[in-house]
Amino acid sequence: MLKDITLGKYYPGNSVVHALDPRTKILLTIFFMIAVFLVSDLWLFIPVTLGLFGIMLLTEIPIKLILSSLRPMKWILVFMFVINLLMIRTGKVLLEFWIIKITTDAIVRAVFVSVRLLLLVLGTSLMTLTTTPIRLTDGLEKLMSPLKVIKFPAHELAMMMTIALRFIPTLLDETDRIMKAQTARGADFETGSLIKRAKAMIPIMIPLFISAFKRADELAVAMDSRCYHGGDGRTRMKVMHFAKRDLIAAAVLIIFFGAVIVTGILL
Amino acid sequence: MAIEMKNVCYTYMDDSAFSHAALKDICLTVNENEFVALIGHTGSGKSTLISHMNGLMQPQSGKVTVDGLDMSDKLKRKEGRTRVGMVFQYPEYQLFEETVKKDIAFGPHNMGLSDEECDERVREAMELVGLSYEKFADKSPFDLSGGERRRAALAGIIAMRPKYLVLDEPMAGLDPMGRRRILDTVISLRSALHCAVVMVSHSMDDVARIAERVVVMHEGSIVMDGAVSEVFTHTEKLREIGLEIPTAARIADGLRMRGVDVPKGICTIEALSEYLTGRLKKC
Ligand SMILES: Nc1ncnc2c1ncn2[C@@H]1O[C@H](COP(=O)(O)OP(=O)(O)OP(=O)(O)O)[C@@H](O)[C@H]1O
Ligand SMILES: [Mg+2]
Repeated sequence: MLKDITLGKYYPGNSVVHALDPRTKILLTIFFMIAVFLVSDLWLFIPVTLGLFGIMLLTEIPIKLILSSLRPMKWILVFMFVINLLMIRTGKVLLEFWIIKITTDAIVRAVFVSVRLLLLVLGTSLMTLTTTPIRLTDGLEKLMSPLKVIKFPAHELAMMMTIALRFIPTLLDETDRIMKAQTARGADFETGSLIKRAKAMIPIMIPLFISAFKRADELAVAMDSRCYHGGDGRTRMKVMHFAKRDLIAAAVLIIFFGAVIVTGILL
Repeated sequence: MAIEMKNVCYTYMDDSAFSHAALKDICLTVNENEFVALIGHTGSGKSTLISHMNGLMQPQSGKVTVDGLDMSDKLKRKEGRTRVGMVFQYPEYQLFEETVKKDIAFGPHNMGLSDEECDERVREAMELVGLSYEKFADKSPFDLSGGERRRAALAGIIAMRPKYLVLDEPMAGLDPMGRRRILDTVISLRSALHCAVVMVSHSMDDVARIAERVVVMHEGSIVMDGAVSEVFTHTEKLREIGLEIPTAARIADGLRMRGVDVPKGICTIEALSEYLTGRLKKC
């Protein structure tokens, strides 16, 4: 019940996209987002969408699964669409009653904003679907490391993210287990007033917090006993390398989306 | 009157890339007063199976009934749950109250019993698991040792006076002394409460000593189901699915290979030593 979260989940595979260096994927995702923001004409989204679908096919992940990452977004999408539809009042009036006035401009704008959001979510979820969280944070750390010069704690931040990501499933499992144990003792989380239900969470929260603190403590001791002392002078087991395919991927994407942007500006 | 599971199937994360069939067409009946041991390699689906016994998990197909109460029905499930006491793996992590007494009373309270009755049940349960009421009742559960905490958690279930007691590896992670005590507790509970016991265990010696019936699981299916002395004669088949046989049965096997015709079905040290001393006396 707690595990139906697809957004930001890794999907194992052996495709070219999976094999790319995480840094390439992060940078290209940022580039893609900028491209999507720079596009100002609705019809220019057609090549962008086609390009994105091309990458989707390359990942070898079932399209249905990729699209399911949009599900948590559906209310935001509906909201954005409706707001734009109602707020924009320029252009030819198509429909008018009471205080509602729908114009051609409004429809174009509403569709434009929704498509933009869809593309942004799809683009970023392609990155998280093809990269393990650990590789993603490694990549982020590497990208942020120049900032260390100005005392930016890049390594610490990445380590914290890694640990948090590592423990989310563990804590979800634990919650599930404790919930089951208390249900077996007759606890009831589903019925009753709001206050009663909030009170019913106590038998879950207390054991959960206790074990979370215990885990944190044990992890700290384990890291300490393996001589962890922060990022200085730390080497990696898996050193990241930019390969030829990273260069090709970057070149293809930058040329393709760059061409789209330039077309948009020139027209 | 029994727990009955009919054609129960369960798949984790159905319709995703990570789907995993944990139970495949399980049919199992646990009768009143029976002592059933559930054994199987790790990941064979034992915990999943017992979670179905009190409706914590609902089968995706098939049916579970407890004393005729359909566990898919919300109201009947509540009644059924009070009859099936479930002790999970590492139950000490479910303790949350300020005092041991209050924690043990959590279950009885949820059943809607009066304060006096709860208190009486707490006393009884603590005595059954071997925790002195005077010494432990007002202590914080977090000040107990691991073994004591486990027994307090066990008492929390016993205080509900279940007709069927389901235990998931109750001895995991304890020292020999602690294991022995939990085992003795389970045996004495059974005679005191006249309840049926379903116990998941990885220790074949313990299973051979206290269980009457053994159910063997492998990759989500029940592959063997029978009396202890019968199941443990299938040495080869058990080995194949990665299970050991009790020490005594192993010794008996070794003796048989060396020409001593120990009868089949001996699987406790006591039975073996009795047979061997009897035989020595005859010579
Ligand atoms: N929450 C879950 N999500 C996905 N798969 C699960 C989940 N829980 C268990 N499984 C899988 O179902 C199978 C059966 O698990 P189960 O916990 O029932 O095994 P078990 O026999 O109790 O093992 P053990 O002896 O280690 O406790 C395992 O292969 C496990 O990987
Ligand atoms: Mg288990």
